Amino acid sequence: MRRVVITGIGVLTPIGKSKNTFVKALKEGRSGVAPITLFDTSKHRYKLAAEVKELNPEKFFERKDLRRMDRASQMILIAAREAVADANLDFGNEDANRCGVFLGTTLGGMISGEKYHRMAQRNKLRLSLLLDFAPHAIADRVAIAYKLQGASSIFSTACASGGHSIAYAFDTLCQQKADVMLAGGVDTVAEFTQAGFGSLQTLITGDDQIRPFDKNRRGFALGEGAAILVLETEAHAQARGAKIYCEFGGYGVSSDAQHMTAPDKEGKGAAAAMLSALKHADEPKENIDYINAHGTATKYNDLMETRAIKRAFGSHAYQLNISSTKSMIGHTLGAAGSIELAATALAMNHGFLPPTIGYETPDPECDLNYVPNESRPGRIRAALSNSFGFGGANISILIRESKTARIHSDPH
Amino acid sequence: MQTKRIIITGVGVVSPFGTGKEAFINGIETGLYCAQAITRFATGAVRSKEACLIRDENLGDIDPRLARLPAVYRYGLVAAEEALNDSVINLREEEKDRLGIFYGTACNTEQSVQYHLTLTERGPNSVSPLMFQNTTYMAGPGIISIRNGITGPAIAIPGGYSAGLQALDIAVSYLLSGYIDRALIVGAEEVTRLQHEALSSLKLLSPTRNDTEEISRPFDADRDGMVLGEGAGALMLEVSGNAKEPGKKVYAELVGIGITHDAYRTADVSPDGRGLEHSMRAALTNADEDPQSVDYIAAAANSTRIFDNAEVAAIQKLFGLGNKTPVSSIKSMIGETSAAGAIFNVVAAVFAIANSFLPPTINYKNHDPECDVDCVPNTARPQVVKFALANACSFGGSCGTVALKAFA
Repeated sequence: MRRVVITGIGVLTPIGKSKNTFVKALKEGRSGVAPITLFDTSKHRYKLAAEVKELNPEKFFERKDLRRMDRASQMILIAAREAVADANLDFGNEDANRCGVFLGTTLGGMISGEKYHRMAQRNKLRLSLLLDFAPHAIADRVAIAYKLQGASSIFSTACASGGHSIAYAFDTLCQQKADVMLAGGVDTVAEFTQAGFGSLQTLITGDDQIRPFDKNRRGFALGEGAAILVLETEAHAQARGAKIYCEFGGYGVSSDAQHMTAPDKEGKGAAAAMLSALKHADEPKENIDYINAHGTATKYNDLMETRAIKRAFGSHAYQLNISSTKSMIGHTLGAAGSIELAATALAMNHGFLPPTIGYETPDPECDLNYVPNESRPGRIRAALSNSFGFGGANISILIRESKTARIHSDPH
Repeated sequence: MQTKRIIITGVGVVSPFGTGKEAFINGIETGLYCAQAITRFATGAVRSKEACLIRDENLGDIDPRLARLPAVYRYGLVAAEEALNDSVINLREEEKDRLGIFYGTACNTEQSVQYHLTLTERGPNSVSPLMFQNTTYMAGPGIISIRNGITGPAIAIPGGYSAGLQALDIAVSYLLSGYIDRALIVGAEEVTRLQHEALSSLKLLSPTRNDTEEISRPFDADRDGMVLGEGAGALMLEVSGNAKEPGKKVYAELVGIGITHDAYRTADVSPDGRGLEHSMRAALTNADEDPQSVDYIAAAANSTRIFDNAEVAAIQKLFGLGNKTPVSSIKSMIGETSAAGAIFNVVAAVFAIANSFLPPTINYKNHDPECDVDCVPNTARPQVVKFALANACSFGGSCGTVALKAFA
């Protein structure tokens, strides 16, 4: 099988608006959760979210273009810009028909959609708001910005979307259907989902924290952000002298087929996804040093995920470092899979284990090592990044140190 | 050239022709026109008053527990279960995690519009978990997976008009990689007031002048916009070696697929047709065939100048000017069914091969020199079809082509 590597990373998150600031925040264990400013929360029961503060889109885009651009489009294009520059890619030197973009999202340009509906209720049709409300507009915008004429697609597997898009980029490269793929995901903090998850009672309130795997965990706060990874075959990366972050080893997917919003309690589906990732990547489970957990800090998920990790890893489960970076970033829904894979790749690259913050009281049922509160230095030879979605769409992605080229660590 | 052979072993359809593939085949053979006055919502000041709708949104005796699902997911479920039962009568327990669901879906549902209205009119604490869960794109594949105990991968692709072919591409890739043995591909769409109103305001829908005029007329000189349609199409795909059972029905073989983007402008289609030109070329390369061997093209053309002209430009560039390869648009009968349309085109091409006929482009009256193609005007044509292409093209520039052959 052809080897696929990650050669560029662009991220925009509540705790860091670039790769380097993101790494710093992950090391420091910073929380991005704060009272919501993007919309009026006076009627909302839940008022916290992890927003990207001071996005300053006018620094990146022309004013005339901004008028029709949803916040999601702005975020994905900013992340794409960093990723393409980071990979030192010049698409002018590539065959445009062999470059494409796959993105995950659950909302797309929902903020524009909300605005459209509010105005429509007052009998005003602002049609330009619908341009970016179509969920595929984010992929169209990236394809257009970089003149990518190969495959483009939008994946919406709820909270697993950002993982599926990257996994499919891997397949496309393995099957020689493309040379370079941009893959990632984006979602914004929107009233639509704040109300929806509020109705599911999975959100934290008051001055509570997101406490994945903690005995007193009460759920998550929504987050927003975007991540784009540049993937290419190892041969292509070497031919153009690209630096290599890590190898994309493989992935596993499964579906719980139980219930739309509640995960299978025993974690069979999640375990199957992790085992299938190990098998697909042909990686012994003993080589996994780190798991970036789905870790939503709901009662169900964290217990289910802990059971799933034990089911998949047996006694090695207790040797693993596991953390939920959602404790810092919040749940970025369709972006989560890609932001968390970026965090995992950066942690591998910089030799540290990101923490699970907000961790105070051990839960006897969740008794694995969750890297509590403080990051630790540590080598990650291979890692899994888990994402589990509504409707039981599970994905586990395996990345590992590149055997041929180890990237230098950035000094920052 | 693909190393494994992918075959189509099940088909399911919920279309404006009716429920079931028989109604669909009968419709495209006889050239039935499905547009009717919209009664589901008030069209008010909107210039276009017609659409090709599913007459009975509840689809007859469907399980009453499903009545609360958004219409689009009900259509998708019924089409998917028809394709599933058409292919495998009894799915064994151990086969259920080797079956994937790939679901090209609508960008909006009437229920998500209602959710927005509830949110703004009655406040955030008035929305319910059920309403919320029904607004997610995963609700479509999720309900199929839960109802049938399918534990393989399930993926929703809200990718516009070419979403169905993007779903098909992912399915083929999963089959070729050996992650799964079978794939259920669904394209589903419902006509919403939002979509109808917006597209009409953008002058992309043909205005209704009187209710007897047939206004969905791809390639016709007088075409002035599309008519919206809805429904769902489903296909069961398998790797050929797995279809062991003697006498297993195989509709056609999927020999190639191309997914591209024209990288032109948001919410637009490149007038030079390069998106479809590249996707057709990629599908032909994938199938190891020349343009000359194509017997039929199921067109993405939807009666708008922008789509029809781009597709004709693409065909002329690839097949040569004055080329007479039959290319027809079933959208003349069932309208632009968006995410479902790509799968409907594949189904039309499959039955063109299986039943040896070319579906017509109905409502065709006046030749347009800009669309100089053999569009199989007005009546179906008996003809042996060995090799066919099915196209899809979306606002925003994403395009796709599937290449199909008779299975031998």
